[in-house]
Amino acid sequence: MKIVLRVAGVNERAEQRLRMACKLLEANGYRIAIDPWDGTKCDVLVVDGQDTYGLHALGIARRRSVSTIALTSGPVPSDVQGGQFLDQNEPVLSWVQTLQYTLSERAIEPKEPGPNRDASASAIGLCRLAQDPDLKSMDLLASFGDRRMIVSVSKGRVIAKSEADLLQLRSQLAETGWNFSPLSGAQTDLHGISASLDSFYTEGALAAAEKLPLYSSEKLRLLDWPDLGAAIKFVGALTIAKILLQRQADMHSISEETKIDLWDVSACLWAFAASGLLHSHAAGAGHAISTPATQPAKTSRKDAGLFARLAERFGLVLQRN
Amino acid sequence: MHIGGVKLVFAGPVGAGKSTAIRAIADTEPVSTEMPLVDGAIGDKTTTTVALDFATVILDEGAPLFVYGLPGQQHFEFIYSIVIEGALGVVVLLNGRDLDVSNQCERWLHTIRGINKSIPIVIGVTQTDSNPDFTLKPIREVLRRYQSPAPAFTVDARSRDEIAQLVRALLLAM
Repeated sequence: MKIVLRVAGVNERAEQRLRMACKLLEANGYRIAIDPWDGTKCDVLVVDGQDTYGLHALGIARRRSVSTIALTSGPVPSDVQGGQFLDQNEPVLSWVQTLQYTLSERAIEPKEPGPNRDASASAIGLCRLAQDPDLKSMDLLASFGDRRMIVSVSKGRVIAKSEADLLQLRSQLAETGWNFSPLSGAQTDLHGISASLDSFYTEGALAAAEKLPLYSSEKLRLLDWPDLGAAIKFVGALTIAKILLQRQADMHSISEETKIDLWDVSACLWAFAASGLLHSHAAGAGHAISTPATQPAKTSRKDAGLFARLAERFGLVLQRN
Repeated sequence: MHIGGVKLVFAGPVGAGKSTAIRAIADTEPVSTEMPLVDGAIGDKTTTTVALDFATVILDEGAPLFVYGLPGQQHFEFIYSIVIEGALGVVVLLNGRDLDVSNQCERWLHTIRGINKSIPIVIGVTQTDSNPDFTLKPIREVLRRYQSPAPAFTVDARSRDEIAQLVRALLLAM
């Protein structure tokens, strides 16, 4: 489960330490998203216990029984008695321990880490499609329950009888119980809705990111852009694809660079692998599309401002510095 | 003819959905130079653009992004370099029902690269849901031959979100 952590009144240095602590917890199976407090529901609120705005947010969070951590640098003010508090000058390990204790109080346990991954991956539909070379090399009839679809690897399309079937099957990509069989001539009469296979896998994987095991940590590469035209719910998939087209990278470095949640990066990798587009660094070397011969002009401040405005207008999540 | 300001260009053959796509993302009513097809309707298409499509997208603080749609007919090629000059990038829309869609892709890549070797390009293929035999593979092969890292996506030209996705991919290519 994804833990929603908000911050209020916290200075940049403290926020950096908080992010480091969350990254360390990620390695132990926690999945934490940090955002500024906006008054909406969250699991944990971290405030500066000596900031007026932080104390205001703290009061509201307490009334809503949200777990709180108040950062202090000196004697604990009376307003922050109760809840957790933490001297922000403490080493990052103390931050990790305080966060872990706070989460355990809310009965939030980390997701089961990797050792079960191999066993579960062999049963989950999307993972089977990603890992089984036979399934990736032929057109298939895929069924789950009483719904069926054609997975046309040769054309990069998925075909189902109706939009409802397609959406239902997409929502079950992270489940076990799929049946895959080679497509026979008699079965090609399944007409109806045709959609991009890459987008189908990407949207399905991201919607069920928590159910999928973490992808392997090897360095990977894309040789072609996945067809993400209809994968509009998570624009981070574009950023992940771009990185993998430019160079080899593993999911941890991608998550670190883009600040995209590790499980979301992993979900994208499962989708790209199922599409047959993802290559390990050994297989991908030497065939990638080269970067253009002419180097782009150095970006001026004006260009950077224009890019930011265009990105905001078209909903492109910018990489955080 | 002087065309200035920050601009984005949509290019591609007749019937690919350029006018539709521009209308999908525009914040102002597009100025469209449509005339009836002289040889009669082609499916649902009854008109064609005989000059430029033009619309604006409003960025924050009211600054406009000018969006131009190039006419797909070859006899208008003389204006391509004028419109493309100084553009942020080009969205090339292709019709997924065309049997020679990969040749169209190559033609447009060649034309645009002949004008500007480094302008960012993204490929959008429309109407693929009504062509059961469509595949992106020949288009990807063209892009590899051109050593072009351009994204190629299948999109619905009527969808604001999917056309915006093309623009997002273009921004990442900048």
